[in-house]
Amino acid sequence: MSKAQFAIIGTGEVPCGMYPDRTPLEIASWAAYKAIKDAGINKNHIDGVLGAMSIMDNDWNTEVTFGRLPEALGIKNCKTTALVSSGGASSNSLRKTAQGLLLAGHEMVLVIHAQRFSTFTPGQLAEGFAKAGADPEWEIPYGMSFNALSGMLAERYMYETGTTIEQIASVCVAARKWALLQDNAMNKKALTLEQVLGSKMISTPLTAYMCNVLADGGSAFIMTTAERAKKLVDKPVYILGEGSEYSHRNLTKAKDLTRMKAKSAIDLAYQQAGLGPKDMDIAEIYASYPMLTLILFEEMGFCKRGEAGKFFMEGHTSPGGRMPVCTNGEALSFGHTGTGVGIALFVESVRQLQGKAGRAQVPGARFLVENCGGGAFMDTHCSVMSNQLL
Amino acid sequence: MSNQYNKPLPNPQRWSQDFWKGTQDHKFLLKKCKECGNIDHPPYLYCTECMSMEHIWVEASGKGKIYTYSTTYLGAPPAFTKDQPFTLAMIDLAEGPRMLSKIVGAKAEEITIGADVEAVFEDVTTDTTLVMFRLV
Ligand SMILES: [Zn+2]
Repeated sequence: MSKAQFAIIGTGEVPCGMYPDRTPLEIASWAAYKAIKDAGINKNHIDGVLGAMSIMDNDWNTEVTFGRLPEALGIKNCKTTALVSSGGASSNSLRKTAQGLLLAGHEMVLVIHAQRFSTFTPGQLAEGFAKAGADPEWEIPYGMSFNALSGMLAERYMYETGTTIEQIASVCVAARKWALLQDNAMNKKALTLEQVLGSKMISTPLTAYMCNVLADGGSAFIMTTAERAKKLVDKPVYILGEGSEYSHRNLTKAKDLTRMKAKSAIDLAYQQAGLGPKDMDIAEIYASYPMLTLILFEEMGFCKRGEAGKFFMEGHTSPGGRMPVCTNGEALSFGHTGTGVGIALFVESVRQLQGKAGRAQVPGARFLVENCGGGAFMDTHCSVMSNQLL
Repeated sequence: MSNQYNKPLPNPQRWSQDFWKGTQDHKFLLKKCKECGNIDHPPYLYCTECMSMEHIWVEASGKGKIYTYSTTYLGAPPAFTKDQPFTLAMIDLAEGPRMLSKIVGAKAEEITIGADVEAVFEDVTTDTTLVMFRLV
């Protein structure tokens, strides 16, 4: 029996892609506007505003730190505003902070992510991301990059499980099929297995289409207590269970490199919810790289170890399949907005459970498992969510 | 050795300076706790197992096995573009710790998980020597 304490009552999102003329404040303003209108609340009932830390954009981080958001959004009764993050895990760290504020007596918390990458040069991005993902003393002097890091993880996962590169590529194909159903997705062209496998080799075994592309985007959601949510909107989305695990900074320090303690976070979320993988209608997996989607899908209990690749290849996770996964197309096809990928998936989770997912809607979705993680695969945060209280 | 080395160099912490002094003498040192015997690599201020500050630097055998690897063909950080393709690997050292390094002197297709490797010292500048590995 789950006693949900918190719920989401509204979400907002802007198109993801290359929009150099769209400032982070513009992204944040639109995402917030849409979330407030979606929830149908009076903006002055919001009393906490949290901004996700942006990657590389220190000016925007300073703006959020110095309280730009409540002023710009007219949140007249704001009591607390802050910049919050832990890398890509920010959807969770933001939510944890929002929950803390609600427990401390705040009424509603608005959480916003905005990121603009397109004003940086490709070289700046390559360097920025290499630095972010790797250790400056022990890895960067060797030429470490995020793609190499992910290639190593893919190589080891294939070695341990017998998963093939075709199966890994099928994750990208499925992601694209979902993205084609999403108006805000960056990639709007169909993608075949042959295209994924035949694209340029980046860092073995990963080809270009297996590596995500950085994009501009942003989203927002409004969180309140489960009690209040019921009175405010028709279909709040409740958090039924949550679990978190931290593994490492340097991937070499992960105790189990191809599992990264994810299972204990996932099991805790299931346990709190009193539910298991068989109850789930959708899995929203933040992976950014396709082998990690397979790893986490297995750790979530939907397949035995080493069998997720076959399951994806057979199309069961694609639109119309029996176990939809990453219904917004995830980083690989929706677009990688830095710390926002997890927030975008969280927002999509809420939309699915509210029946607002448009062409990507999974009919009758009731229970969903969602995860996010940050750093160089440093942690896992898992939530079980539903549109009903058990 | 080159005066025009333009790649990022390690910026040692106070507690890792002995490691980098060691590599300059072509010695591969690991920080071992005197209290519990734990080896921390990377090293940190105190033993990450028992918090003891007492430690010795032990010389590693330089032997290890490739735990996993990836050969980068495109998209390396800008300073490494002209080295492409190059192979980075995680090496399981005989002494226990796993470290990231580069495999030198081998073609990409010769490199496999589980392969035996040994440390080599690359004097990249007059002040800095990196530990790399070659197949044995
Ligand atoms: Zn110790």
